[in-house]
Amino acid sequence: MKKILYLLPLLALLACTERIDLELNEGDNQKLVVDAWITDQPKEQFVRLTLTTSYYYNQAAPPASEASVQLSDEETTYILTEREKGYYYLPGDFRTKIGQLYTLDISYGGKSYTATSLLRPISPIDSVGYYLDDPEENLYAITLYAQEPAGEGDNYFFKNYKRGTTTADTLRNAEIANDEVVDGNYIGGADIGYETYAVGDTVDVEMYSIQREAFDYFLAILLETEFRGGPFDTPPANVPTNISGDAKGFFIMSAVSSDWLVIEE
Amino acid sequence: MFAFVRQSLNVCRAISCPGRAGRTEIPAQLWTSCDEYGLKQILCKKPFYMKDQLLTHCLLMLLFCGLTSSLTAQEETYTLSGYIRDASTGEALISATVYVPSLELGTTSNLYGFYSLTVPKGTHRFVFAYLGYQDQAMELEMGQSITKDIELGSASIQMEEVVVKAEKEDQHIEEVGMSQVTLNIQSIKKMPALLGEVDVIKAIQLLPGVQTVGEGTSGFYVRGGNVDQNLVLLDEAPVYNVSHLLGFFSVFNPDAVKDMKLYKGGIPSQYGGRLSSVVDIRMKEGNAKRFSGSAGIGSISSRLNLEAPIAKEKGSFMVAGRRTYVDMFLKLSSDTSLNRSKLFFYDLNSKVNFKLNDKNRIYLSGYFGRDVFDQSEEFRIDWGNRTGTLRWNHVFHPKLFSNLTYYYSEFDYFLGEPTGVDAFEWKSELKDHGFKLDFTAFASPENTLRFGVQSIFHIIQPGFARGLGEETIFNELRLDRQRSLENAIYISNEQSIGDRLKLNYGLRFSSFHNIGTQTVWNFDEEFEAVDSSFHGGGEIYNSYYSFEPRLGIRYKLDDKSSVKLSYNRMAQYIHLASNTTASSPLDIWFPSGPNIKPQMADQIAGGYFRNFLDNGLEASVELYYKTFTNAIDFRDHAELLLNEKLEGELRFGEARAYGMELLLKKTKGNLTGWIGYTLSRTEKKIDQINQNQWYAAKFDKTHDVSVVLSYDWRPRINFSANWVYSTGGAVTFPTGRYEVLGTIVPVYSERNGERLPSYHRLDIAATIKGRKKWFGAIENEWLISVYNVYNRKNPYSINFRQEADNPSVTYAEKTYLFGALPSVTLNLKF
Repeated sequence: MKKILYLLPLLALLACTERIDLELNEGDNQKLVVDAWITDQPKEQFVRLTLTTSYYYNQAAPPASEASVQLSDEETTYILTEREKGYYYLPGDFRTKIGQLYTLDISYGGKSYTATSLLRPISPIDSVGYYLDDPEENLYAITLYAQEPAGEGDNYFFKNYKRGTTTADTLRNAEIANDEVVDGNYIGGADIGYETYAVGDTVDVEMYSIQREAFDYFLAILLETEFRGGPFDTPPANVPTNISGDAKGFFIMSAVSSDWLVIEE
Repeated sequence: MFAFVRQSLNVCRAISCPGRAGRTEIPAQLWTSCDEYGLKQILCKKPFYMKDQLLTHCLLMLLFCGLTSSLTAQEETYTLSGYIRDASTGEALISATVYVPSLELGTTSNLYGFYSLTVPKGTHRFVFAYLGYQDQAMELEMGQSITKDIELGSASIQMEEVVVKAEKEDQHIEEVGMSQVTLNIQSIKKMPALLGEVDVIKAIQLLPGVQTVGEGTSGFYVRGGNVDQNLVLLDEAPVYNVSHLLGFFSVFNPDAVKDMKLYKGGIPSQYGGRLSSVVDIRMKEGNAKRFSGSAGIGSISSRLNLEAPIAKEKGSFMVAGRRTYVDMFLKLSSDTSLNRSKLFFYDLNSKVNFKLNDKNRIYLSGYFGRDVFDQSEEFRIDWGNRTGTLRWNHVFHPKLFSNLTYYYSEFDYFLGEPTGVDAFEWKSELKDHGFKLDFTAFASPENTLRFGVQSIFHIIQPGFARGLGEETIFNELRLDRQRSLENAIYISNEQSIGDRLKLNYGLRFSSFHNIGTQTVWNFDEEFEAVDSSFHGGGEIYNSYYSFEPRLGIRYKLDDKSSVKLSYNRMAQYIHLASNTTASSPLDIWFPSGPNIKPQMADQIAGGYFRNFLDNGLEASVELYYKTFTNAIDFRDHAELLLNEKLEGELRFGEARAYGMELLLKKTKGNLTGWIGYTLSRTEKKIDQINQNQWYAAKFDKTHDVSVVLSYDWRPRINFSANWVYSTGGAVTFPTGRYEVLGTIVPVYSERNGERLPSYHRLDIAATIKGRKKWFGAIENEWLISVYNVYNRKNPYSINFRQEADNPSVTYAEKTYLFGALPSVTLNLKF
């Protein structure tokens, strides 16, 4: 599907872009933004709360501090503590349980917000590979070998990044997929991401299970940011949210499979 | 709306049938029902169908009135009929006039050049005229009905010695039709064009009431109607995707086109199936006198067109082809994957016509066109239209002309990746088989009746995709083939009442049927699919019926001016799934069905028409108001491709459009052209979009100006210029932002609440004819044009970006397409 975008160079031959000054109206900002993506990875897990700002705010998003945040599975409730402004950490004894429905409750500025997410299982990665897609740009395609489990409804988020870099936690190399057209098949080397690497780089590859709503959420973000600017743009629209109460952002529970590779000569 | 119905009812009442007794003998209670009772019903806000019924009732009454008057005509009359053709090529002349000055009687030729005029017994002087051609006058003794084919000489052949003066040039004032424009291909060819590619669709976009979105797109929006609400006909076959190369060019090769007519309102009852406009494009028939041809070498394409008589001038054929060499541009690219790519489009048109005898003529025409983008081993996409039309003109009687048409139209696309585990192919297609039988009855000099039946069988395969090769990761995905049948019967009468009043009233009754095999999903109120119903092969599982009344009224104030009023109701049963800015080749059409009601539109328009300078300058002002019901839009971030539950992505509501159009058109002299101005508004209110509030359509442009000028400076040299100005399109800008994992996500508050900067552009062109024919036989001319002369960077879009190095900084970025772009084309004619 990504290849459809190859039509764009055609337009690029004729099109020029120019940064402009454009005044914008300001909407009803200062709304709560929830960035809660909890995984089964053995690391410190946190929820980030910020506020919406004017479009040209041009600073890091203001934190939503002094909120009370709790996460529950079907049996236990965990209280999150704010260590840095806007960052709320899960306690060290937190363990995920595959197949359970999780509930996130937030109380901030006198209002309460809630969201739920089902933690879906993830299949193992057999192996990962790569090939040089564009030698001039040192652009590598990362490929995946794994069995897609039978039964429609699996949605995936893929990430690949150079070990030890900070780009790991961004959406920059994000790819999303679902099993609508590949359900139950063996994925024997499909592209799951493109990135510039150098020979010798160690690349970590991660595959996340996400919910259908989260797939739509990431797709909407891509449509509203990276994919914008071509002739096939669709009307701008707000990215959906699964947080009840007038908030933005998303609450996602994911199980993760990972693998790594080294780019060789 | 109410005011209009009242007015039309008043007209109903005011009309007296010029029948036997000179006055109408229509039973009084019918008028009462039309009048007092009807008005009461309407003003009491009875359901809309009541108003329909009344209008329908009135129209039928008028028809009855017209028929009785023509059947009871007592005077001894005879009919002169035949075809009007071009003397040098034998091409049929459409809308040429036949006029008897002493009787103040006249008519115009139809789409096949056929005319029929009934006059009292006696000797009369008939004048045949067509704009740009020399008049022909003849005295004929009408002691019996006469069939006579007329050939008019082109004025340009006679050069300057002959002064061309037509006595009947006030068509603009005279005809009952309003909101319609005929463009002759000769005048379109002189206009400046993008990269020299003469384009009929781009010419349409220069008319008042027609809007565009984005630079250089072939999509057009007529009086608030969406791009899929235009019925574009090529020799009676609908063309489903008029775009080449993402819409920078249209599929109509100018060498193959004879003329085109655009209806924006007052749409006659023989047309239907789309809400907003009809673009009726006729292909050339070919030179019936001698072998001739033309060729062109342009900046991006080459053309060749050949024409010749067949069977001793009993018929003729035409074949025209065009192919681009855009591939060349790609070869210049330094990107290796790009410069190995194939990218081209071609068009092939052909037409044959053959006269069996005076009463029968057969036409066969076809169009094939395709765009191909092939990135060698990596990716291929191609798409195109194919149409074919077979027509049989038969003259039953000098007063009864018929045309039987069968057509086929197909649009399909292919998308594929040939190698790798993710190799796939993806196809989609739409096929129409259409059948039409149309009659024109020249019942009396005062009445021209048109009636007929039409039927279209639509077959749509919205998508079929599968993986290729043993190792493929893809399953096969085949959406149900959708079959439907669209039928219509119509009747209309064009009636003159006295010298001043002329009416065209008609009724179209259309029906639409969905036919199995089909699985239909049922949706809940949140548009989530809950279950499905299966309908077996051949089962008609859903039907819709619509009455579509049409009405046109012309009242002549004097010889130079008239006022006109029109009303039309239109129904549309198949719709385009597209929410992108430019026309995408992946657009698919979908039929109405259990979950999708037909879209309906009602339009009223009124206008004042006046001619100046001995009919050399035509001026008009028109006002229109149009409402749309069951209007379709798409949910936010809709998934329109390969989606078996497409209906769940649709949202329904209403829309309204209103505006004023001014047109000043100069038709005579060295300087010709027009100035058009449109003041308009188009808004939609769709369930679940923009918080259920009204919002401006993306093509809503408050002000729109076009200036189109052509100046014959010397017999060999013509200069032309187009200038366009419009308010920027309605767009949505962010009003806030938030951050998710390092990505800044925009927040919007109102759809289309902002405007792009206004758009304006000047194009110029010069046409220089060679002094001498090359090799003594080849006429040659150079067409030099410059697009966007003053190099305005009109924004194609404004996008919002995040700085790569400093990710918390966001900024606005404008994308613009063409700067000043010169081109040269060489045209040859032999």
